[in-house]
Amino acid sequence: MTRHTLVDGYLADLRDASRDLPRREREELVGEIQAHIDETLPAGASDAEVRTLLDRLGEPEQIADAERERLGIDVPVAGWLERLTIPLLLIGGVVIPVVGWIVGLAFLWLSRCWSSRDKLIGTLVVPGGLLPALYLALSPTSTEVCVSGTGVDSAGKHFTTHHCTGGLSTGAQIGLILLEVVLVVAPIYTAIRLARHLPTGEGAQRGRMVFSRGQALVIFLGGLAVGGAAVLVYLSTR
Amino acid sequence: MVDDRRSSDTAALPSQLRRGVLEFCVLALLRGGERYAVELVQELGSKDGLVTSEGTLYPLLSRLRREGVVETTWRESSEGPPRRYYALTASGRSVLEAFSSEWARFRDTVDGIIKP
Repeated sequence: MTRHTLVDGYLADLRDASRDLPRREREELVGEIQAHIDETLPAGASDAEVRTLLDRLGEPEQIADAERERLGIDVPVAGWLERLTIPLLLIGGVVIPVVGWIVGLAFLWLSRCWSSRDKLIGTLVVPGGLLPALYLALSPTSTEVCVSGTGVDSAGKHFTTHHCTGGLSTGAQIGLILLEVVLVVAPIYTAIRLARHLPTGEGAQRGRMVFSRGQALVIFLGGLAVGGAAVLVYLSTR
Repeated sequence: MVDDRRSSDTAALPSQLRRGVLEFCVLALLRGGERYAVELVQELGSKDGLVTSEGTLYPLLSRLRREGVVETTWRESSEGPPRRYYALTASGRSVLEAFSSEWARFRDTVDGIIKP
């Protein structure tokens, strides 16, 4: 049986709204609501019927709140910890080499605002934030060695030789440029994802950012500037 | 269709008051014998002014289960996946009886004060 797309969206919203709950409780809650929908909805229900049913079930945020209340968990609200985590993960490792990122990592795992999945992505994409991109950009990768010489051939003419060994093939160079781009884009993607997944507390709306537009812009531009500089440095040293 | 009167009524009554009595309503619905979750939730949801969000009943049912006032059994269903049936436990029954007599007293007292 294919489930209605409205239902899929609703269940995804519920999962999202309850992401700070322990996995077992969250899965049980989503499973029960899903079973309720599957059982109540007639096969081939119209959009209107689906909407009426979802309306009766209530806002996913409300259901998640009821579960939080039962478990004695207060609604997580993003505070200074979360506001610091994102810039620390992105450029902390560049500003205070390595240590800044590690502090950001500790903050990330201490926060209750993100799901384990988001925390894993925040950790693995990319360890060090923009630091690896910068490191790659600044490290000399060319190991080309050239030997020139002069000689006299059998006919008595002078000639020069120029011979190079080592160095990178064009393929490897393109690979490195691609790697550099990925190392810049991936941490920025992660920062945006983490910012979008922060709950805003009272009457939280999905997708609304906890950062003001100005703060988000500064973080984004900061990331872009460091990342862009890394790419430029990388390309100019080639 | 959700009728508008129901939602405006439920908004008027303080939510803590509604929430406070809801669990006893669940127990009372089980007095006549076991029922499965969807049946319970739909019946409570159709009562005027009792529940604004049927989905919030599932966390309530989990709580009652963990408190040991209800117990559940999974039964095969002729149409679809197995269903979880809810039944009162002995402790649930005594909680319900205690609430029923207390509620009657409370209701009379409040009525005596607010009725002109």
